[in-house]
Amino acid sequence: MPQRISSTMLRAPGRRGLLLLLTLALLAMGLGVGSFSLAQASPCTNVLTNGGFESDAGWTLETQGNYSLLSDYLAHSGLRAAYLAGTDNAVDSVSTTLALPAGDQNISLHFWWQIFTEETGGGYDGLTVQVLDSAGNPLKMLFSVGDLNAVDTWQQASLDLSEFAGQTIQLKFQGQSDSSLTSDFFVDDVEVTACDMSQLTNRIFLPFTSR
Amino acid sequence: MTNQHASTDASTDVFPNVFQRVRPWLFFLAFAAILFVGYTATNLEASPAQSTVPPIALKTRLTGPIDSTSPTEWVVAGITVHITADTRIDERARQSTIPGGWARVIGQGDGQGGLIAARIKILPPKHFVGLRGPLDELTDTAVVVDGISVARTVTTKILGDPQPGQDRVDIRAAIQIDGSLLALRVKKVGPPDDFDDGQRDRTELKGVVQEMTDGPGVWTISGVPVTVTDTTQIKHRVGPIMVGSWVEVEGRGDGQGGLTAREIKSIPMQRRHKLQGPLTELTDTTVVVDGIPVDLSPDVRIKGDPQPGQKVEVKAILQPDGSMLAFEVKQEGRDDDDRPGHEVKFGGIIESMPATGFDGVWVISGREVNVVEGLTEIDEHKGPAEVGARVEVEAIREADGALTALEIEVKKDGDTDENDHGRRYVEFKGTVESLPAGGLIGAWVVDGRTVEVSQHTRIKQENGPIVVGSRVEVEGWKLEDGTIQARKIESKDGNNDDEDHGAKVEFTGHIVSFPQDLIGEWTIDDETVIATEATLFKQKDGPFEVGALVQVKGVRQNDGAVLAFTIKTESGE
Repeated sequence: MPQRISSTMLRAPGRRGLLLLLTLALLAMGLGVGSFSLAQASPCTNVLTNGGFESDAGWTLETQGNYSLLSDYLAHSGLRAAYLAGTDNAVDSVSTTLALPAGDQNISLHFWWQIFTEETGGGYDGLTVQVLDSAGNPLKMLFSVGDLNAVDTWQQASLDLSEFAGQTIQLKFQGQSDSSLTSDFFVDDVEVTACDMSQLTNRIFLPFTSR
Repeated sequence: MTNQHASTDASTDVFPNVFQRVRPWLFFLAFAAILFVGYTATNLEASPAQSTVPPIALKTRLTGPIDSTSPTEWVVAGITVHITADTRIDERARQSTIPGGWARVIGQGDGQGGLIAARIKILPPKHFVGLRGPLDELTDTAVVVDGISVARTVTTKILGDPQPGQDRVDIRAAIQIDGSLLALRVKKVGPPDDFDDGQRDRTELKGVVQEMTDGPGVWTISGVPVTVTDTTQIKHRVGPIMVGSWVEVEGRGDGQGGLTAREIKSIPMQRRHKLQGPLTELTDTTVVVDGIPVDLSPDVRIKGDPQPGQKVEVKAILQPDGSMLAFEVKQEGRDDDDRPGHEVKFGGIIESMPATGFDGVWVISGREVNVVEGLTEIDEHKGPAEVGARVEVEAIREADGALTALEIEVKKDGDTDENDHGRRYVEFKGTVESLPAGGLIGAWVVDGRTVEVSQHTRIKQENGPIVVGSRVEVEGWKLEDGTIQARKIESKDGNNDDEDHGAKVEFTGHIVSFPQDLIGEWTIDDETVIATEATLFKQKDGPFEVGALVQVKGVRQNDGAVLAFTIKTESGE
């Protein structure tokens, strides 16, 4: 009896069955199998440590004020975040030096930010993300928001750093304010992911793992 | 009655004779000639723009008492003011009692020591006469502004090293017994620039810096060549300006497809690139704004009916080659506010003011307004004019687009007790009732409220060290239990009656002993000095060590010890 049933099941579907099996296989790859394979040999690495600002390790903190730039007021995750400005005439920054991998790399900067402000007009205080060379010379402004962008929730930014592959750069988050009506800039959970594109191109199920 | 009849009879006698002697076609010619002359005269009056008489420039401003008035000439502070058909006189001038009143005259010099008035406004009496305009001459005995001479003596204060022929000055003057003016103060108010002619709209570009030079040179911003000169003002508003920065450029077309920048300032990132200015040309493929060409997208939206000369706004994206591709061209509405000489009225919050006095640039809800002492009326009946105060502004648009305030009226005191600032953000002023033992970190009580102060709290003691009894302003987040998590605490000026800070002291002495981590009790000569986390330590003239000479600034507490505000090493020489 079991043999009969099995035989019927195998025989009855014919081409339809094969089509069904193929569809199921493709779906499985799309839903999980593919990504599982990718996770096993991920070509992406986070080249930045302590992006959560839980300590000052790896970061250079610069302020003209007499206060800490790592704060437990607001944190996107963990206990602390970088807290820049928050007082008049502030120029506060946290920066780190990164040696970005060379080759066919897709390098991205991801971080979370939030702004409180007392400004009402806009455009007086700002948070910027700058790329400097290892000697501190400016290379590119990656990101700039101002007091007009103040919102009461954390926002994520993702920026492309691929053009700096193979270079040693300084990544600098700077908050600055003018002489009145302060703004508070918070930055947390900074990641710099470098993905080796040469590894990714060998995988035939890439279209299904790109989600 | 009889005479009138006689006269009428006489005229009826004369006209038939004339009609009899002159042929009708001559009457027709004369009638046509009268019509032509009348038409021409009417057109000249109705179209001043076509007249050969140039408009009156708004470069000089005089504020002073009205000595006399007539339909064609006023005398203000002894200076002749010419009234023309184009002079706009404050409506109040016609209604109110002019004798004893003051006037503000804006116009240009007549070359003979007088002013041709473009605008006149009646003001309440002031303390001083004011004169502002281009400096022609500055000698030991006279200051000449736009042809108007004001006496100068050794007591006249000259501020800012103004240069004749280059700078504009603001003069505060007094009327002498003989009616002439004596300059009390001459202050440079900024050099005139190429943009001061007021004849053209300015052009603005919001875009990304693609190339830039360290000093003067040609930058590329969203594909537009932008010439930066020695006089270009570079403002690092929201951050430093570098390649990749979003900036706003204000300037004018250079006639070669680029822009000469008067000001460049960094701005937050934008979604679209924008170019605003007078339309030069609009074709099927290109829009040219102030001489700057921008490619049109095939799907471009044209809003309104923009005509050459009118102000337009172009919204664009960047093409792969870095140039702009316009997807919208919008005719800007005619905005009288932008026209030089027009009054602008708006309300807002004072965001910043000069550090001392009123004279200078205020920022009111994002708009910069020049306040000129003796010219701007500040009405503080409803509250003090201070940062945070809500005000209404009446200003005049200068030729360079700047706003000069004529009146600023405080509408409401901006010192709010609490406000909603995202999270439950509060700010209040109060008296410190208690402080943590041994420092400033910990729980404070300010006017009965518990205030949590951490190492992250910005503590400002510029107006004096904070001790029990100090008046402070607290800002922070209010927690559910009512505790205030302080973000900023600032000591307030100690001149209020309810303040008792103790005596401020400042002395120099040698260190006898001091704590290893600097925080705690020091002995300097025979004084006990308490240093806290808020104490500022400066060791520029050597490290702290026993025997080192230091200067201490602080406040003497009830127990005789000095709570240090700063401790710094001295060279000992």
